[in-house]
Amino acid sequence: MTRRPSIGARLYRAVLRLLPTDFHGDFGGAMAADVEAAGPRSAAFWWREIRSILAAVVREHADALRQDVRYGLRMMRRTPGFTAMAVLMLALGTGVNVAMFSIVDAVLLRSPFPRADELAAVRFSVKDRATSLVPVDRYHDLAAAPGPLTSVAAFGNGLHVLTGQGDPQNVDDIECFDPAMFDVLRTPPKLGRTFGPADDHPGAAPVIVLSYPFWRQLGGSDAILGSAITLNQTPVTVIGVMPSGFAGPLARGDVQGWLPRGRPVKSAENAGCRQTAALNLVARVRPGLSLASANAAMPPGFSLIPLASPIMDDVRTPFTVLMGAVACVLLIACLNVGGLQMERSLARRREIALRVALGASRSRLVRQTLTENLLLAFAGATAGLVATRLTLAAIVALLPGNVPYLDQIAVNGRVLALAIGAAAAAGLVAGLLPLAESRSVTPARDLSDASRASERRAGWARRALVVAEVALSIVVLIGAALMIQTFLTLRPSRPGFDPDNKLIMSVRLRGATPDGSEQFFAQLFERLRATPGIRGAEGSTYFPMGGNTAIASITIDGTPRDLLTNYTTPGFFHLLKIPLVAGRMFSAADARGSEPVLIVNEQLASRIRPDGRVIGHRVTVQSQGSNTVPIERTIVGVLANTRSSSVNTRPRDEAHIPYAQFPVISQWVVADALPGRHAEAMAGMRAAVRALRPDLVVADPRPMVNYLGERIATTRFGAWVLGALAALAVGVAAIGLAATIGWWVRQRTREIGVRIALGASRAGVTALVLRQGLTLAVVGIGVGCACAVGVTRYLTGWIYGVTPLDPGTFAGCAVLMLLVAAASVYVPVRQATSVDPVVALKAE
Amino acid sequence: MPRQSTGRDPQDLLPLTPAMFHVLVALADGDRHGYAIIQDVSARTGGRVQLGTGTLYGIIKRLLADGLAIESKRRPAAGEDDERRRYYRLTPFGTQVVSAETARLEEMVHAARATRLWRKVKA
Repeated sequence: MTRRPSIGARLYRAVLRLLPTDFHGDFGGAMAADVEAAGPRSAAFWWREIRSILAAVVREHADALRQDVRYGLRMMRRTPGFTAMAVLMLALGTGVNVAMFSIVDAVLLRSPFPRADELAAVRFSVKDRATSLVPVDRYHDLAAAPGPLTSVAAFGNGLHVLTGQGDPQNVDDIECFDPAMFDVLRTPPKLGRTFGPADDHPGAAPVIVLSYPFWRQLGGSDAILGSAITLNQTPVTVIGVMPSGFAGPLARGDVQGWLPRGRPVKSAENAGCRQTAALNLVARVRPGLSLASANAAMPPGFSLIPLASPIMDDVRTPFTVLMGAVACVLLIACLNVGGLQMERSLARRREIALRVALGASRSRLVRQTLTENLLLAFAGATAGLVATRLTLAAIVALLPGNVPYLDQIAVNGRVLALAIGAAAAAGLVAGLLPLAESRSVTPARDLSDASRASERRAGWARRALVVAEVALSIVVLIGAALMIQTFLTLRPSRPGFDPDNKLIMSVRLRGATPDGSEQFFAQLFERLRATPGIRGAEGSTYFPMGGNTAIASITIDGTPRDLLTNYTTPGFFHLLKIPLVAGRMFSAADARGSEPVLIVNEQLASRIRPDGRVIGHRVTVQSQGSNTVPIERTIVGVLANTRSSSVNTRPRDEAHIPYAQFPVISQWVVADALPGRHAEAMAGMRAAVRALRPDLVVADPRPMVNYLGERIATTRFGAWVLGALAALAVGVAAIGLAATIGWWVRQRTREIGVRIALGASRAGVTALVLRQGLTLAVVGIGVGCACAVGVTRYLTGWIYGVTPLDPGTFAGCAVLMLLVAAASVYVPVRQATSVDPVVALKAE
Repeated sequence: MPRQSTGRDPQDLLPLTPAMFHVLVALADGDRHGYAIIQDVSARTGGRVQLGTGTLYGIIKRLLADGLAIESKRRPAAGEDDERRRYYRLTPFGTQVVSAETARLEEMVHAARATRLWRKVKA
């Protein structure tokens, strides 16, 4: 008679299955029989039993793991060469991932603000066009009735302010905050206090809160609180220091401090904030409210977007691409270790068969193999972590200085978690590959002979792995090649104009009149041209890739269009060697009273007239500013396109206006120095300014090449890092190829011996082996190129001067890979050609 | 496979855990299956020690691996037998070990009784 087992009994049996297979097989039946022996049992009995089994589950699994680890360590010690190679490759693979993730984590993933998901930038629409600037009166309306927002605050850029501590120093990265901004961002100061309402009105004593990096730069002492630094000849009291990692709502890595927005600049000599008609706003949305529903509840005209730094947008693509590349390197390393393991597991086939015959369960064998590979992977990850820790500072130094939160980059808990995750994934990938092979072990066959069939099958699998490695590495290689070409093109030596020997200095005459400005700059250029070491000096409000731009609006066929405008002295284009395509350059005759003229670049010319023949064409230009009137100008010249930006590389619409016809208060002074006399020329530039206006504080002149170099630092970083990763990927794949072909040669020692005995020449054997290696390489290259076609488009916008599918780049990388493959087969070729037929035939 | 018992010193395995000692004692009077061991231990300790099956078979695994017990091939008549059951028997080495442990415990108890503490408790 069979009774239906009780719930307790059924639960008990279910828990029994959690025991390790071996233990369950040995004792599971007896255990079930024991508890069922005495008929129905109380709930308390089952509870005690189940607890006892659960304890056994933990104990027995731990015991099995201990044994597996011991066995794995023994295996690793038995083949030190393999272990060292595998650990090294996995260390490289995890190391680059850890390093890159440390950077991405600090820069892109982590926000320095508590509950950052509630933060939003406020946008305001005028005539259906949303802008980031909100009119002051509407800001006050919003602050009075914030709807779905808990708080809102405004910020803006401070006026170009300067400090007089020791040598005059430029402090132009000051932001102006409403006192409430620190509350909106929920960040208390590290030292001292932030602004209160008492600091935020026109009559208040001037105060400043410093950023952490700037505070460190000023000595980093607590004593700075209450002391004054001099901004624009105005003593400003330091009342607080923000913590490391706080860089304002836009995460500008180089921000130096914050002034209360409500305390305006009173005169040219004063430090304070410009009172603008429109403001940037940051808001905190009520907790629990999504951005979409908050948006729906916003007063008319307002909308919310996630708070994001424009700098972040610049670095998001590069970092995503680099993360992809490091993942590829890790995968290649895993495949390589997997391939080597496969060879080893084949060699251990007899041992495994013996253990299966002696009753080891297959699941136990699986656990052992995985444990061994996880041990390798964790050893590799540990080495990788240590290497990252040692090299991270050097890698970070390659990053552009304006990338936010550079000082936050560190190997932290999250990075450690990633390393552990990567190691676990690596161990699984590398371990499952040989397992797929050993699944077919059958004692009857494998104990009797070292089965040829399984070796052949493993051979195929291993070749597939090498093909995948070559394919992945060529994807990284092509990406790196595109990036390196971009870097070479964007490098200041080939930007479409000639920055060599040019020294630049930004000069701003606060509060000057147009007449005063024109007169000052005319005198300055005259002095500079007479300065020893300087061949020529010109001025411009903008230079290509310089980053400082003015926007004007031009009316083409009745539609206004925004474009970059530049106010330049007559010889500026000649000085920078920007070629004239049609018409003429400016001359001294293009003065205030003469006919208003304009020079456009090719890009704008083709927009105005598709055939680009625009000389003599008249267009209306409205310069930006509160009291400018539209002026009709005649186009007198067309310039070749130059790059306008350093990261986004498409040429833009550009229009150039004679400085004399629109004298503004600031210019970039560009001096053409004699080679080798830069120091003298720079001293001369400083002296010329001092002679004219002793009170004017300007930033030090610097070589344009250096300045442009900084502007393309992201590209340089990408080129360096991708180049290094590509070298690593190709190197690891080459090792994989060499190992696989070496194995192939060892398997065919007999066959090769026979061939040599029958008179095959050394060249013939070389060709045989080389063909094996190159076939794999060619297949891998083909697959890789096909993959690259799908992948390189993610580089669009980051690469320049080369298309994502550039045939030359693809072909070059393929040839390079083929050469590396041929070189890596050298060792197996030597091995094959040195086969002694007598020994080879005897051995079998 | 049980290890060879010859040439090994029982002292190497001492002290035993109380649970292991109880199981060895339960096997001292003859072959037993798991349930019988649990009942025996419970009876000897007046119900104070109730071994769970998880604990018991963990101990049995150790006893088998260390060669203190082996699985017995002698089984009851087919009618009374549950074929899933396993029967265990103490090996000569197992007997040596349990004797050694008993002697060790006796010594400890003796030492404790010789102290003032014991006389005080008794009084």
